[in-house]
Amino acid sequence: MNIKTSRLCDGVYLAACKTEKFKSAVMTVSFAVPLDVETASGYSLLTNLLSLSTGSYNTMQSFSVIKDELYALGLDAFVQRRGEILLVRLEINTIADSFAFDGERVLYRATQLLGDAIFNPHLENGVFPTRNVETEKDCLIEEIESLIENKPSYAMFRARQIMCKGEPFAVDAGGETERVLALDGEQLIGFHRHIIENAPIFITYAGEADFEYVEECVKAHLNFTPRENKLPDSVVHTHCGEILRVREEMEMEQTVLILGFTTEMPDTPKKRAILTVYDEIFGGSPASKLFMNVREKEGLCYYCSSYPAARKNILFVSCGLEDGFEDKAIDAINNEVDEMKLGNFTDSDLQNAKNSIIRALKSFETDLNSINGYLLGQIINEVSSTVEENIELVLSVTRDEVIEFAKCVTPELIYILGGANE
Amino acid sequence: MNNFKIIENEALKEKYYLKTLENGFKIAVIPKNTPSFHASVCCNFGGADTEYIKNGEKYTLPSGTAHFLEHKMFENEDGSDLFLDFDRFGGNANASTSFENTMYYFSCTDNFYENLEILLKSVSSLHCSNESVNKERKIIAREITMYEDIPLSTVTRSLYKLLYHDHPTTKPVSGTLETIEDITKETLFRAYNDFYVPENLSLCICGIVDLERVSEAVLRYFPNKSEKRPETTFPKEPLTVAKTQNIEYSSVASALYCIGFKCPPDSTDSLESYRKALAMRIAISLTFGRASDFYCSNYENGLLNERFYAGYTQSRHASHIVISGSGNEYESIKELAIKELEYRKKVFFTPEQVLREKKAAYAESITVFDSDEDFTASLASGAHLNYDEFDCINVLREITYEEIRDAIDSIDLKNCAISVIKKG
Repeated sequence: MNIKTSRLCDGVYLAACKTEKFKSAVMTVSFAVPLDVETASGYSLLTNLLSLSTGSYNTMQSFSVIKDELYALGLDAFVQRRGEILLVRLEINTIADSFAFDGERVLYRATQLLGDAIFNPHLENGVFPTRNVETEKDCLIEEIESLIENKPSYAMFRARQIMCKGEPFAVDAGGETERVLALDGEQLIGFHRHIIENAPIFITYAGEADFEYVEECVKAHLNFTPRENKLPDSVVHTHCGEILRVREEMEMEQTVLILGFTTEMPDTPKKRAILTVYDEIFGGSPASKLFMNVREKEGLCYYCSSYPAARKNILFVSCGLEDGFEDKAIDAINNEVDEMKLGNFTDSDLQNAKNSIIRALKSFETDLNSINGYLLGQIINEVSSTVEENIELVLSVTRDEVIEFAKCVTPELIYILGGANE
Repeated sequence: MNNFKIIENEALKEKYYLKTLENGFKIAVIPKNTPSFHASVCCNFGGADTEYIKNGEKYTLPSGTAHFLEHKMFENEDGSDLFLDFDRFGGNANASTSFENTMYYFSCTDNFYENLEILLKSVSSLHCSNESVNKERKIIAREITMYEDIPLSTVTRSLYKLLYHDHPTTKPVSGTLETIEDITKETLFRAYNDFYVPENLSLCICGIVDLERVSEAVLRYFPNKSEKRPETTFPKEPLTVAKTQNIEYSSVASALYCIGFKCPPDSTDSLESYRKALAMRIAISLTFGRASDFYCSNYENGLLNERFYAGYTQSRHASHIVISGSGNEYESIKELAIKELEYRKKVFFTPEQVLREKKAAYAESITVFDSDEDFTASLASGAHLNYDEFDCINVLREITYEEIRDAIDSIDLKNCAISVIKKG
C-alpha cells in the first residue's frame, strides 16, 4: 500500500492510496462546513439535487443510464457529521480499470461525471428547477421523519438533542422538516456557491491507480480554486450539574435506554488512544464489561454497548430492554462505570483490549471505505501519523491512564424511550 | 498439494484450494496475503429446517431452534464465554443464522491457529444447562422484540405470511416469543446431534496458512465418519398466494408497503437454478431498477422515493419478487407495477438495454472479491451448493437475452399480495 498526500492549492487537499487488492475503487470529495441548524437542511437538500441529475444529463433517467454504462457507477452525495463539522460529500464507487472490458479508462470518465455533478448542476434560469426542489424536499422530509422507524437510532438522536441542547453537536445532519419546507431553488444556489468557492475541500482516492493518474483525473475534472482552510473547533460540553431523567413514549415492543456521560475532552492523539482502550474494556466489544455482565450475566438485554463521541467529551451507552427493567439496567451499567473508576479490570483485559484495537488498525487496508476514512483523517486533521505510530500510541496506554480517564466519566442523562407507563 | 484441488479464475485473478475430508467435512482456503486472517464455519442448518426425516422417522423443531443453538454454541464446558477465549488471542468473533444456514466466524491479525482451534472447538461440541438455556431465552426474547420494532422487518414478514400458506419462511429465523418457549436443552441437543455432522459442515479460510495443519485441526475436532444429514421436508405449498392484503399500524414516517409476486419454487443448490434466478434478477432490475422508465417516471411524479426497492429472492422451496417502498400511494404503485409487467411481457427491452444491465450486474458481482470476509463467507456457505462464485460470473457472461425475457414471461400476475404498515 502506497499513500501520497498533496495540497493541490490553498484549502484543497488530495490523499490517495494505491492498492491492487480491489476490483473497484472509491473517490470521495468532502466540502467541510460548520454543523449548524440554520444551514444543515440546505446542504442536505443540495446533496439530493446534485446526485439526481447534472447539466449534461439533465433527467434522472439519462443520468442513471450513463452510470449503468460506466459499469453501474455508484455516484452518491450525502451529508455526514464529523464532530461539529458537516461534511458535504460526493463520492464515486467505480470498477477498477483493469477489470473493465476493452481497457476502458473508467476512472477518468467517472471523475468527469463527478465533476459534472459538482460544477455543472442541472439548473433552469440560473436556479435549481422548482419541480426537482419540491420532489427532493418531500424525499428529504421522509428521510428525516423515518428516523422513528429505527428506535435505537431515534433514541440516540433524542439523547444527543437533550444533553447537548444549544450546541452544534445536537444538530442532525439531515436538518429539520420546517427548515426543509422553507427552502427554495435560489437559496440552494447560495449553498452551492459556498461549497464551490469557499469551503475547504478534501479529496481521497483508494484503488489500483497510480497517484499521477489520480492527480490527472482530479486536475482535469475537479479543478477547484484556492480558499481558506478554516475548520470550526469542537465546543467543550459542560455538565449541566445534575442527572436529567427523561422518558418519552411511542408505540413499541422494546424499551430503549440511553445513558449519557460527560468525559475528558479527547483533544490529543494520546487522549484519543486512552479513550479507545477505555471503551474497548468498558462496552465496545463482545468481551467488554457491559456485554459480559449486563447481557450475559444479568440477561437483561440483547445489546448493551458504549459509543464515545470521537471529537467531543461525551460517551453514550445504549441498550434494549423489557419494559420495567430500566432501573435494574441503570444500576448494572453504573456499576460497571464504577468498576472502571476503581481499576477493577485485569492486566489481561487491558492487553486484550489493546490487541483488539491493534487488529482493527492493522486491518483498515482490507476495506476501501476504511482506507478512505483513514486518508480523510490524514488531510482533514493535517496529521501524518502512520498505522505503526498509532499502534505505538495504543501500546503506550497505561492502566493508570485508563483509570484516570474513567474517573472523569460522569453521568448526566438517563433517557428512556418506552412503550408503556413508567 | 495435500489433496487440495486448485480452483482458479485467471480473468478475475482469484483462486482457492478445496478439499473434502473423508468424513465429509469441506475445507476451502483462499491463499491471500493480507493483514487479516478470516475463517468461517458454516453449518447447513438454518431457520428453514424445522421438519425433517432421520432414519425414516419424522421430527419437528420449534421455529427459531437453529438461531437459539447459534447463541449457545459460544459457551464452554464450564459455562464461560468463548468470546473471552477469542479476545485473549486477538480474535474478533461473531455468528449469524439465516433461513439457509448458520455461520460462525472470526478475523484476526495474529495467533491464527489459536483462534482456529477455538472456532473448531465451539462447533464440535455443545455445552448447556437448563439454567443457561433459560437465561439465553430472555436474551433472545429481547432480540425478537428488537426486530419487531423495525417496521420494514414487520412489513416484509407480513408479506411472507400472505404469499405462503405454511412454509417456514413465514416464521422469523429467530422464532417468536411463543416458539422459543418450546425450545429446551433437549431440543438443542437433538438439533445439534442431527445437523452438526461433518458432511453438513464446511470451513473457509482467507490467508496464507498451512493446509496440512488446517486439515489436521479439523480432523482432531471431527475424527469420526459423518452420519448422514437428515432430509429437511417442507409442507406442500400451493402455487397460489394464501391471502392478498394485510394492513397494520405503527410509528412510521409514511405508509410502508411490500408488494410480492409468488413464483414457482425451485431448488437452490444447482447451477441451473442459480441461472434461472439470475435471469429473473436482471429482468426485475431492468423493469424496476434506478434507470428504468418505471422508477424514473414515478419518482418524478412523486409516487416513489429513494426507499423504493425491487428484487427477487430464491430460497429453499420459496421464490418471490418483492417491490417495497414508502408513501401513501401504495395501491397506485401496485397497479402500476402490474401494468408495467404486463407491458414488458408484450414489449421487452432492447438487446442494448439488456447488455447494459448485464454490464452493471457484472461490476456489482465482482465486488464480492473486494471483501475477504464476504468471499470467505460465500465460499463457506457455497460449499454446500454445487457451484461457486466463479461459476456465477461465468453464468452472467453466458446468460442470453431470451432467458431474461422468459423470466418476465414466467411471472403469474395473479399471484400478487400486498402488505402495508400505515402511520398510526
